[in-house]
Amino acid sequence: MSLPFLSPSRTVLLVGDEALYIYNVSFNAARLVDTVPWQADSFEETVIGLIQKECGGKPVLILNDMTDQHFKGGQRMPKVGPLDKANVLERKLQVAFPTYPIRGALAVKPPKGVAVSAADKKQGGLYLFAAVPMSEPIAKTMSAVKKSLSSVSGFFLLPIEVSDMVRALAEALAGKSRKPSRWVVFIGQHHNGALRQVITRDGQLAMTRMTPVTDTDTDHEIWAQEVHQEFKATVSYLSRFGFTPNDGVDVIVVCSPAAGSVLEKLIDIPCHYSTFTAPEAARELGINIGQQDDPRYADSLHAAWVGRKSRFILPMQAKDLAKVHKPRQVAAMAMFVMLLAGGYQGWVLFNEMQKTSAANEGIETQQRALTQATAAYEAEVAKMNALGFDVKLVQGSIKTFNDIEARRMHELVMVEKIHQALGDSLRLDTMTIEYQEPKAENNNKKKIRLPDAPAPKPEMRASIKLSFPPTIEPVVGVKEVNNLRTRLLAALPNCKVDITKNVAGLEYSDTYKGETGDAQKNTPQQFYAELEIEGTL
Amino acid sequence: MGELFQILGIKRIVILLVLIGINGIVGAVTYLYVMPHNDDLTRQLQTITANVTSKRKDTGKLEGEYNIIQKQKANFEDLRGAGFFSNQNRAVARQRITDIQKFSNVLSAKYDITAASIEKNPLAADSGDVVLNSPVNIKVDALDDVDFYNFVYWVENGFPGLVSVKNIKVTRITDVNETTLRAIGSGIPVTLVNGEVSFEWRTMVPAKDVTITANPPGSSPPAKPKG
Repeated sequence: MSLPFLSPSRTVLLVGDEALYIYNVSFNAARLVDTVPWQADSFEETVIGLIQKECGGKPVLILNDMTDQHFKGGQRMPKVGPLDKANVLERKLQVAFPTYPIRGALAVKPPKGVAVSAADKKQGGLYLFAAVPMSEPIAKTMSAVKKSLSSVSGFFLLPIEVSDMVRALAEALAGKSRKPSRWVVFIGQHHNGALRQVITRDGQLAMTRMTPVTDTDTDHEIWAQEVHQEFKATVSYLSRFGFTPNDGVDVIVVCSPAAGSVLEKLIDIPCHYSTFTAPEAARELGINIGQQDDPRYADSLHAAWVGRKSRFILPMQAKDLAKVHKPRQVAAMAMFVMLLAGGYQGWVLFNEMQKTSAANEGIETQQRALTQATAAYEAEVAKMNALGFDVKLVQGSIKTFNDIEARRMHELVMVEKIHQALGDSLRLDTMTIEYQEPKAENNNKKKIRLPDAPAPKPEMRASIKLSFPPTIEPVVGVKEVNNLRTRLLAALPNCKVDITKNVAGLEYSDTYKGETGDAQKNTPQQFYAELEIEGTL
Repeated sequence: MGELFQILGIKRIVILLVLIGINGIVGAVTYLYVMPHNDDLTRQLQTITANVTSKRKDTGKLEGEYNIIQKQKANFEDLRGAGFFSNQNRAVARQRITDIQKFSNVLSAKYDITAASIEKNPLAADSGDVVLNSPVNIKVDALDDVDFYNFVYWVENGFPGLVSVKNIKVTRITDVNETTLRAIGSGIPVTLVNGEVSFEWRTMVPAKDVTITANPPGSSPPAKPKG
């Protein structure tokens, strides 16, 4: 279901036999603006004025409601390719209506649930051909439309375009309780007094009639009798199309309620009879035609239905109209595209302007931040300069000092530890402490040490020599030396301590020399020991 | 063209032209001016933002360095006071050894200061300095080995610059007996201990203040003061 306010608004020019009826159709009303007789002086100027001023220059739709409409049903189209179809149809229309410039063809669909036989398929599709002669009223209408400069929605035939309205109305009336009848007769009187009957079979136009009847709202009996006569004539025509009264028919009449009641009594064939005023019928259809001056006329309902259509059943081809219709349509499309493009470009521009604004704000903020950051930086630089010395020299010298200091040998610490280990009873004759290159550097001299890498710990090698009195027992001396080694190892846990020479060799593997007796008295035996300590503190 | 004007009408054509014109102008303004301008602004913003970040980083670095340097300043002044930046004037060294000899009570100190060589230390190179290294050997006669150790201690801590001892040797040459005790008692200096200390004397001087003279391959080049 489409939304009513999205339906198109148009100016509907209802072309009647006596006059042109101008309707302004919007989403909530179908208002008869004016009626301009064909013989009126300055017809075109009047119509143009009404289109432009009264109807606001809306797109114009021409709806032909004249008697002089020609139909040829049951036209077979040979089976041709889709590319040739339009040409063949054009040619067939030309043959069917050689002198009528306004023509159109409508493909007749098979009724719902009826399968198309293979023979029919072979023969091609069935078409309803329609044509309208170029009469003076139509020429005048087209000329006015051309000069009005309004967009043209097209040229249409009223009975064809309202056939779907009749079907919709029948379906709405049938509701869910029953199916709509196969035949539906819609009867309505127009402002020109003529009675328009639209008869549909299976939802498609089967026949239409336009006959003059009495235009009265007071004598309902006479009006009903005349309409009944026309209805009977219609039913007799329909029998040619295979209609029998027993088929059942929906009869929908747009008139005043009183006249409708009288007519209902007169109809003597079995049917589903419904009568409405035009606004009531519109409500049944779900549309709004607004307040009507005389609601018994049906043409405002037709104008409203067709004027709001977005898809038409049979757009008629009129060369004269196409000349203005196509360029104006192209211009309208171009304007629409330009509006869309303008909208898009406006949106892009708006976004870009926002970006510009954001970027400007960002720059402003960042410039303030830069000013602050620069000031802070300058302050730090000033503080540095205020120190009054070379920062690199300070840092470089401290690093250099620490690097050399880390590799320095702390020999006095070792001296102290050796003296502590000696104790009071032992006496040192000689002591040498030498700096040893760190092993890591010895092993890989070519290895490059990074500037900030910690310096390897320095190693030391110490040699100590101790002498003992000649009176000492070798066993005691050896024991003293061994104990000294143990104490040194405890005092210097990262060092290895070797006894390179002990007081005396007492094991079987050692050599032992000595003297006894007088020889010993003359040259007392000297006892001494040597130890080597190697490692880090 | 005239027919087209008749069909479309001047109003519709004007509207269409105005729409085309508006589209053209808006498009031109957007794509030829605003967008390139925005690109410029974005680049400008990025540059300023990068500058701000860089400046803040530099400031932070300086702040950190300032605090560190404040602490290092005291160390630096200590180094300066300790003669780490001296040019290894031999007269100063001579005076300092004499002072230490007297202070440590050693009987005599015979010293040999070898010509300085230049050590290329990468840590010193940052500030454009080099390390001067003079090997020193001192032979000491002392009454007691404690005096010698005292001497070594003051050499390490009282000599200008940085001293790295390479080896020490202490030898007891005489035992304490009646003769030596009598001599000591009568005020005659008696050498009971010989000591020898070898060390490297290092200071840091600006590279521009020293010249490097030709030196045999494999050895450090000896330094020569400029002027």
